[in-house]
Amino acid sequence: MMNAEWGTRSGAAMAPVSFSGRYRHFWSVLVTTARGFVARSNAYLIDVIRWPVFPLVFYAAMRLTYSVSGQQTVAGLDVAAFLLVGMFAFITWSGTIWSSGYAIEYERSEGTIAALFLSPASRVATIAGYGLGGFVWMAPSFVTVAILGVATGARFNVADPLAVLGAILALLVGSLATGFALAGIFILSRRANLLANFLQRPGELLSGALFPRESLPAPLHALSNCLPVSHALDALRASTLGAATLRDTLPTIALALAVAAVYAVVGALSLRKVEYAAKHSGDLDLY
Amino acid sequence: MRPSTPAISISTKVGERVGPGLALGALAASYRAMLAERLGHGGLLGYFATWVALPLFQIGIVALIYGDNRRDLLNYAVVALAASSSIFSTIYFVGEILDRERVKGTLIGLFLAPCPRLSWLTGFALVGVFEAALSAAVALIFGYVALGVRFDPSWSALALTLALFLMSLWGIGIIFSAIGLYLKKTNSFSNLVSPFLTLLGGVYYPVALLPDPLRWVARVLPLGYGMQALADAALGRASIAELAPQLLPLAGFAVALPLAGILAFGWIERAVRLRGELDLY
Repeated sequence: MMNAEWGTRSGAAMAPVSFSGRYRHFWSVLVTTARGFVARSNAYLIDVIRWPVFPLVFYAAMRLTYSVSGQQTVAGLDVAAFLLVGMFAFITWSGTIWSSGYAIEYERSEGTIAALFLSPASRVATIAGYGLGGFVWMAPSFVTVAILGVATGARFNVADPLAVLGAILALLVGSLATGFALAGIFILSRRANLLANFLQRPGELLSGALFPRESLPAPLHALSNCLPVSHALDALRASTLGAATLRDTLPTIALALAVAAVYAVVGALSLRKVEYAAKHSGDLDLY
Repeated sequence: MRPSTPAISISTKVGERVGPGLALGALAASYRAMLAERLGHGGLLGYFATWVALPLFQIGIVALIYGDNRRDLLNYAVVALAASSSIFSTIYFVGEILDRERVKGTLIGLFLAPCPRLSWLTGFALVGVFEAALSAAVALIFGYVALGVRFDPSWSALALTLALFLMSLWGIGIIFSAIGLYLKKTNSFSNLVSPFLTLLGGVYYPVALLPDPLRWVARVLPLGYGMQALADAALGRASIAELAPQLLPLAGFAVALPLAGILAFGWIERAVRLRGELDLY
């Protein structure tokens, strides 16, 4: 992706000759952004505590909801295990929205967006850096929910570790692609916070994190197919709870990656639109 | 709650409103200003997307879990989720008022304004009541139309329960607002507290169905009593006498929590004066 200066083709003097190689530079931006995001996210004790607490308590609330309704199994799986794996998708979805999805908005609200756009740093590396930081940031949430899940009776049934690995990879790639698409859309909407808060619930409803997607009404089921996280979660549940092999889950993983590719294209287009809007209005803050 | 710092330097002109008239004027002005700000922030579409769509998603999740097997729980959850909009408005809106004004840089102006603090605080909080009412109405209509929930209300019991419930929440909101201002991380505090209120507040299920240790904790909160009483009054035409086991503790909370809120506000004001600055940095 081109930087603002490169996009103007204003001269070879702006060529990044003083920087490391292209891939090394990309990697450097990615890691530095991720490190910065994790450091900022953990700057206050209350933030360190509250992010893992939310999915943990929400898991407990959903587990109790199933419990009072008298259901011990969901879609042929134990409720605790079904919800535990679903919470992984729930956490990933939240992390996606508030890390890579919110990447450019963070830069805007902190007043660094102009510097970012004018620097030779790749926008893709920056957003991916936020996404990577988001996975690290959410790691305590994954661990605490897993502990509570196992403590409340969740048991895994894995036949092929490669299938689990493939599903996790699909979840992470799908998450990054979604964040990439949201990053540009959020900033263009000028209502990033509102949109981010709004999108949380549909993700919970449509991804199948809390109940089987098959129970959704047809139109909502069709919508849920448009989320990479839905397919990745299907593959993750099958491989971790249903002893599915990589051969069994490969079509679902491929579907997750294909939908993720569409999101990546949307992300590229929306970022281009952001650049255009910034240059057109002459205001990088996009207010 | 005490009025603002006596504004010796501010001269009151003849004909200007004073006393209750001033307080009511400040209340109405702050209500209008906050409503305009909320609408301006997200636009009409964003505003309605938040307050209309969110309860639908929540009810959708509960409906898909309970299905047709537990109609009683689904009916309860529709009423409780409608009522929960006031809880979340209390936490995320009323509870964040002071800190939000601090971030905007208007808190000093508000504290020094020659009108009772309660007036502008109540004016702002009324916008939260409006939003919660809108959200609750959407939830109840959706429950009625899409899920076939049938209401059989006892209006007197419903009105009394709602009054006691809102008084309790108002107290909680003021307490949270004071704590948030002190912490300077109100939104983080709201996000830390809200999942526990979902777990223990009887939002998805009646508190009576919680396992023992959780139920004991839930019983020291007003939410479970309020939710159960609202559901019984709205769905089963329960009378005030029949709701006494819920209404008596709720009445206690409705008295104690606003008092605690005023004390907390006084405490934060003393802390402010001790430090000599309203921004509390």
